[in-house]
Amino acid sequence: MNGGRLRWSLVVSALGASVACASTGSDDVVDHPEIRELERRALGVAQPYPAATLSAADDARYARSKQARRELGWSVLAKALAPVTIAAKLPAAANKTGKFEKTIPLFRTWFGGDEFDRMFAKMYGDLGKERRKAKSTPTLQESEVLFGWNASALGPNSEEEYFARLALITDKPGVDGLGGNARVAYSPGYVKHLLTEYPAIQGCEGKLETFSADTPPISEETNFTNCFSSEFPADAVAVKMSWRRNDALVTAGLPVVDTTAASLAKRLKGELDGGGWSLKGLPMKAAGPDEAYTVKLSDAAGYSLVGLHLMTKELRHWVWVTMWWSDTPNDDFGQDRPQAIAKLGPPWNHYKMNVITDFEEKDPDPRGGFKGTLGDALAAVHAKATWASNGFIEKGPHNAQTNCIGCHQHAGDVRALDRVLTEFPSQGREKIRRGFPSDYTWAFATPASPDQKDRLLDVIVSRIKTYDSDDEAPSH
Amino acid sequence: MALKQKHGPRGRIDRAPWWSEDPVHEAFRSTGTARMANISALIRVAHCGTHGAQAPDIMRKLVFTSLVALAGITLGLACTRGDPLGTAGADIVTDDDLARSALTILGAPQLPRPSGEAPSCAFTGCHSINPIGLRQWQTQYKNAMDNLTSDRSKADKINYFRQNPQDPRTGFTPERVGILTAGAHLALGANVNPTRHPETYKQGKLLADLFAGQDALYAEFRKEMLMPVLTDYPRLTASEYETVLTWFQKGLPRVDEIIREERPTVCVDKFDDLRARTIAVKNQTWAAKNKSNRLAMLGCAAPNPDAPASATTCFGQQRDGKDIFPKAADSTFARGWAADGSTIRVLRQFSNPNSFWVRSSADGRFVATGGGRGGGAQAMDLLATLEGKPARDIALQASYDPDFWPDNKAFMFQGGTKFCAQSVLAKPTTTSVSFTEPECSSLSAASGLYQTVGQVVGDNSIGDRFILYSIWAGDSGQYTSQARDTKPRAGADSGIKIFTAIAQGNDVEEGYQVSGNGFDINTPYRGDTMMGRSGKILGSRWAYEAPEGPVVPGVAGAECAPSCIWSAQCANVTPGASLVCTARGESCSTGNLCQPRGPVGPVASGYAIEKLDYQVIDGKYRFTTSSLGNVCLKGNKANFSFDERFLATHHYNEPSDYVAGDDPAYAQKGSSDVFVVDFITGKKQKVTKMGPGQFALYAHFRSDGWLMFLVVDQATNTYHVAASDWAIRQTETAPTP
Repeated sequence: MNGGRLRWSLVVSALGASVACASTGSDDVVDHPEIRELERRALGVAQPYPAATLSAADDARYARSKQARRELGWSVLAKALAPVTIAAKLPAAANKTGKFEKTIPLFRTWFGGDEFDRMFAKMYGDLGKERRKAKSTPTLQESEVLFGWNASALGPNSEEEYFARLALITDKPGVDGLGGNARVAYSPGYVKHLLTEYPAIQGCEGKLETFSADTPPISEETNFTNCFSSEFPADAVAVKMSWRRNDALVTAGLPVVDTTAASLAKRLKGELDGGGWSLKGLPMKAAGPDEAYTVKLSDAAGYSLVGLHLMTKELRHWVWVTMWWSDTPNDDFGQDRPQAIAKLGPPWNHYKMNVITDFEEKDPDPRGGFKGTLGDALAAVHAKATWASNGFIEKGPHNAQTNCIGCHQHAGDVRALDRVLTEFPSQGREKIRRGFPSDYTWAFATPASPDQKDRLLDVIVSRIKTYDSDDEAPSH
Repeated sequence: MALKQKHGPRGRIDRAPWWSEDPVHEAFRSTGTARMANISALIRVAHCGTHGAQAPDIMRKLVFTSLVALAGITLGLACTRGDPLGTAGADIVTDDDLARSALTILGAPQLPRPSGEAPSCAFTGCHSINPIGLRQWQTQYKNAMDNLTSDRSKADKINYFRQNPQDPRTGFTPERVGILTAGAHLALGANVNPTRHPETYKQGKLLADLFAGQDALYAEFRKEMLMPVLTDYPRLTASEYETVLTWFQKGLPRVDEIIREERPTVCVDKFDDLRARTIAVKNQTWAAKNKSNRLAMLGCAAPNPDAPASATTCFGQQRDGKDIFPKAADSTFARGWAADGSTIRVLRQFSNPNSFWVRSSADGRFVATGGGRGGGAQAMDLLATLEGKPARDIALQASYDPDFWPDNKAFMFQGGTKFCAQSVLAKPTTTSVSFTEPECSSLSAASGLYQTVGQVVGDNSIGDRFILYSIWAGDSGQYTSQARDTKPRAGADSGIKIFTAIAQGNDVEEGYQVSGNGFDINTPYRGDTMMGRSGKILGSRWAYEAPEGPVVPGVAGAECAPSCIWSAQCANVTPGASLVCTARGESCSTGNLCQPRGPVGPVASGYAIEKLDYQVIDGKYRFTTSSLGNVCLKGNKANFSFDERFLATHHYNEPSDYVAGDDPAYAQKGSSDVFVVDFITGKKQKVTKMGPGQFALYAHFRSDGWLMFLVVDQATNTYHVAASDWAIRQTETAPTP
């Protein structure tokens, strides 16, 4: 390798250096989330997330117990990582290189932002002029048909190109590559909610600038949002991923992020990297597909998953799970890895996990009842507010001191984003809002920035406007 | 030697040559080799007497040793670093010695430097050392010296060296001085000794006198002439330059014998494979990908795949009842521009002159070029124009040669070889870019000039990025009736070098890393190579052999005047006849007789289109090329459309390009137009018809097929960004199957 290192700070550039919250645990995106038609057809229909039915009592229990919370977090991961067989039948030649599973983790079947765009355009057009005028929403059956269409349409591509794409798959990373290397993905439940909520979402256009922490929601009891007619369903999940190039071209390995108690204590005191994370200068460790989840894309580029956020709506204020790759996977946040993950086999035994479900840390035990390095690490981050941060995903000063939920509470309030880390108490970790305009989802809208983040509100509104102008045009 | 070179006007010699009072040159030209040996000996004595005590430099010694071996002369190693002429000069007893010494210094591959010696010019991304290119530098140099020794005003002399001599706001450009640029850094510095380096000294003196009292301007001149531009390559010492300059002044004797060539002479169109390839990849181009990604194109309606609007409707926005981007047909000064039923929109007038080429972002929002009010380069935000805001011209601390990656996320500039995320331009608070921003970094590991960039198309959200350099002819724009297409300079040693920037991840700090030292591919006689956006197709200009014109009546056998190859200096020759020495390239000083010839016949012009394949082997990208076809067309560097169906270039109109009924003012003012070739239909279309004194330059495409180009209007000294929808209309009329 030859010097020439190019530093890209797209997120920072987009939102200002102090606004790392935007990248913190948010489901917004820097690069195109891309699952092209070719790969989608090979993957098949996006698989629903099997949400647990949890009660308010469960919510309180998780808030009070780190142990219960961690069990929840691992169970969320186990469901999201469960293998799903892909739809495509690979050419016989694919097996010549050795047998390999034609499966992909469930969350890897989920939708990219570009697919939401495609599907909303299709759905809205198919409604027809009268139903569009009536702000009709698709029926359940129509939604299923739409998802099926998305999984089979080839767009501008030909059948030959589809089979040529399949022919590139010669190993398991090739199968996993069908899910791409984008930064975000949305579960079917998440997407379905947005598709059917389009009239309410459209009604929020132009109002985002008016929201403040004191703005009351539609209903504190039943709908704490301002832009939806109902909150997301339990099977709504948003995922944010961090990938590292890991192939024949980049052989340095993966960075080793230290999440020991000693290291975390320093970060929380601001003694390391300004209270943030830095991947620069970290030791690197070689990791093959058995040590790190690795995908091979159509251009043969290999990437390994090093960080993953999952936010599921199984609890009203979401379950915030974060997972990261480690070369010491059984220490600290990997110490209590349950059998459900272990039985998934490699590479998932190389990831650590943390989870929060509330703003406040209501477990009085700093160690959460854990012995060993996990107890040490939990104690190191124990405070009045909960803690969850991922060294591979959060960037910038103070972003190792955050908890995901604190930033995401402001989602939809585009003016709040710049202030989260610098102005709000406890680096933004405390609950300060009455309502949650877009139900904790930053993908709904973020302030204007030059990158190509998902802004699903804009996707919906611009599409509606396009049709409106056609619908209102005099007929020939 | 990265000579950012362009062609300047050629002046006639109607006065005594600038070297007429130069004893050293007098010696060279009067009696040839015998006097040469004496002078060389004189130089050696003077040189070594002064600097013989300098610290020895092993590398230079190696050169010296080689030269001695070449000359077959066994002289003592009297001189070392900083003293090549002293040593080389001592060995130079014949034209052949001189030529070999100079060509070794210049880096001709026929005379390789000793192992371990730093390369000079002959590396990809810089200059091919071949007879055509050397003669161009010679001509430019001669014109520059004619200018310096002329009776023009100082201001006019200085402005002659500018990119646009009529516009003092434009920068200086090395193409106005030819080989002189390789010694401009020496000036009258401490290393230039009037006795040991008389020609170098004389040149420095001329320039110092010209710029006397204008230190800042002289500093600017020298800065912009600095060669090689790239710091990777050593600049010539005074002695080296003296040797090279002497050889140039002697008319490049022996160049054709030492550098033997087998140049192609005939261009034949070949479209079959090109057409097939265009069809095969139509869904695998950046045009298809950006369309699929619904990349918002500036000035266009929101993409609606279900009811797609023709891209020809873009730029139709109005304010106060008037088009924000007026149609050329609706304006007085641009009325006749659009050809073949197309529409041309005038997108913006520059606030400041440009410098070198212009490129646009994939979405057409940013138009970047060298020049500007600060920093050396500029990027104009057309969104500000669209929104009716004040002009937003971002100053960039770079020099020239912008290019944008097709994913609309990154751009690069030369002048340090710099790279930034495009978001830095889009950030509303950005007024200037120093390239120290977090979004930017140096790309010095992949430096060069006149690059094009490509990127892998696929499902990778951060596809690998390619940067391609090639042998090039400088193309800074010319604005007179004498303007002609830059002459291709590629030689047998021409090649391309491709660097790959690899994403480390998809998080911010991981960024990109340049992989390896670049991959070299030999491209004999093909240069000015531009890469298609997918990185899978190349377009290069052929450097064809100029056919010799027929012998015409004249005074054959007249003795050549010195350096007759530079101009018509044979006695008693019909004015206007072109003269060459009887043995091409041989020096007049050897006493050759001149033979008058008619005007040299038309030189074939055209482009080689090649397929570029790549794969990763042993952790590195490996590239291979194969021919796809040939496009015979006059023009300069050419650019592919994002769908890789069209190739566009500009062409400086020659007298024969004008037709009956054209404005007679063309003869005095000249013009240049944009041409596009369609690989599907084979059609070659002139898509502009610029007015007299109007120059359409640097055609390139944005993602949706709008053809962007620069217009320089000499009458008003104004610079404009314009766009043509010709390629879009062509696609709609004859869709890619």
